[in-house]
Amino acid sequence: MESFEAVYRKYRDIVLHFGIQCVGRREIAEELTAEAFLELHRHWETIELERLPSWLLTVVKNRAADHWRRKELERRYMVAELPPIQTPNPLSRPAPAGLFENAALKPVHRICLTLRYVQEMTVAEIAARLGLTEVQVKGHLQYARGLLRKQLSGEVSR
Amino acid sequence: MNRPDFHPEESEFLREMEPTLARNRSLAGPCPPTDLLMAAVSGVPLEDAGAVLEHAARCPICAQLSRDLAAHELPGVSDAEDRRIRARWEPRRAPRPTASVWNWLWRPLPAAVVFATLAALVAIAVRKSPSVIQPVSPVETARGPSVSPTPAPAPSAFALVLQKAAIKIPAAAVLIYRSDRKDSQAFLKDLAAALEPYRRDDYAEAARLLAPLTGKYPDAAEPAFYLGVSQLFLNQNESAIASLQMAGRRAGETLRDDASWYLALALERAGKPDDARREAEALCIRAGEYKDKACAAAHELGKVEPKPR
Repeated sequence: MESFEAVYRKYRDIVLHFGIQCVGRREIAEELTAEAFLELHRHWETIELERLPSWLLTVVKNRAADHWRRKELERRYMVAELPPIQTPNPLSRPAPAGLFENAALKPVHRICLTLRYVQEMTVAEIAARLGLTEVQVKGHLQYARGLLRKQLSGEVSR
Repeated sequence: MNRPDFHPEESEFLREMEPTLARNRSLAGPCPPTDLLMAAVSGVPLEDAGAVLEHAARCPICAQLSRDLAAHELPGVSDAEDRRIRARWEPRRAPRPTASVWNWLWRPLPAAVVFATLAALVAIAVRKSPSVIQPVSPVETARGPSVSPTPAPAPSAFALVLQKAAIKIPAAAVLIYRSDRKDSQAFLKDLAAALEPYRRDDYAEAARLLAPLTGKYPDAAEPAFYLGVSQLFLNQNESAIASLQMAGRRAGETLRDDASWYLALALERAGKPDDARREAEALCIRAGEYKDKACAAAHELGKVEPKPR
């Protein structure tokens, strides 16, 4: 049977990355990862190793649901405290479709473009979300804009 | 979400893209924030998951973004993250004091002192009223003449001292039931009624009133937390562990550390000093009102020889 240490080493990155997908912020995902492995530690005598890593991911998912529930409560609390002004609905941004389609663009370029120009995130926020430096994000954006501009000018001249 | 400050070149790019944006704008509906989109796509049970997934199925931008983000390679766990994660279950690395003859000599001393004090008090009581000898429990005797129902901190076989938890009702708890004001008021009314005996230190009655509230309000941490504390005072340690774990799962920022601290107490009292130490260590590395107490407790618990399981 594998030791707890071996299991932790084997799955820690998977669990952390899944946590980031579920909550978006690395520091919260770290907390969820710690909680998942703490739960595993508590149940180590009884857990069947064949259930890993899905058992860990389920713990993360449930903790992420708690996180979102708290966020929603906070948001509603803030809304309740405000005077009855039309508060911005997070689902109110119109969706442009078929954007950033260019064969030369890599996924990371598309992500940077979408987060910056559709989701209107700052370069710092994008860097934190993707685990990149701000310089890298700026570089990806610059490269992607250049490609799209060429594509646009080609379409115009045709 | 912050509105980024686009520099001139980016603004120009957006102006150039505008016709494409306008052309591609469809009736797919508004895009959700990225984090919400990814949570829904990852299967997190969210209230809005249905709407978000429905949107993602229609919106090519969101569909592409969720695929790209899921495939994006993120950095692995860093050394600092690794240390913080491990601290949740690993024992302190500080060397433990080795057991020596002195340990065995000193350990029974506090118990002997307490026993001698009790014997002296009983002897005095017998001498003062020889005709009315009432059975006196050791706890009552130790408390002396006080009539306060508050249990005194145990004299104590435990490293973690049990003190009554202050009543904290976070503002967000008012809105626990999806901002339905009627339900929120019912929750507060039920909670206030159940906490009244808790205020009076009538823990048996408090536990009786709080227990049904943990099921009636499954999102609220407060009933489970105060139930756990009441059970601790009633010496129902295994029940207290279950209640405080439930409170920890449900708790927001306001009660999370309180639940951890009292869980550590319950674990120690239930004869699980290793588990108690892990809880204390987890609190010790977090900033908060329990930090100092938890660090000291973790240190104290580290001195206790673990019981074989």
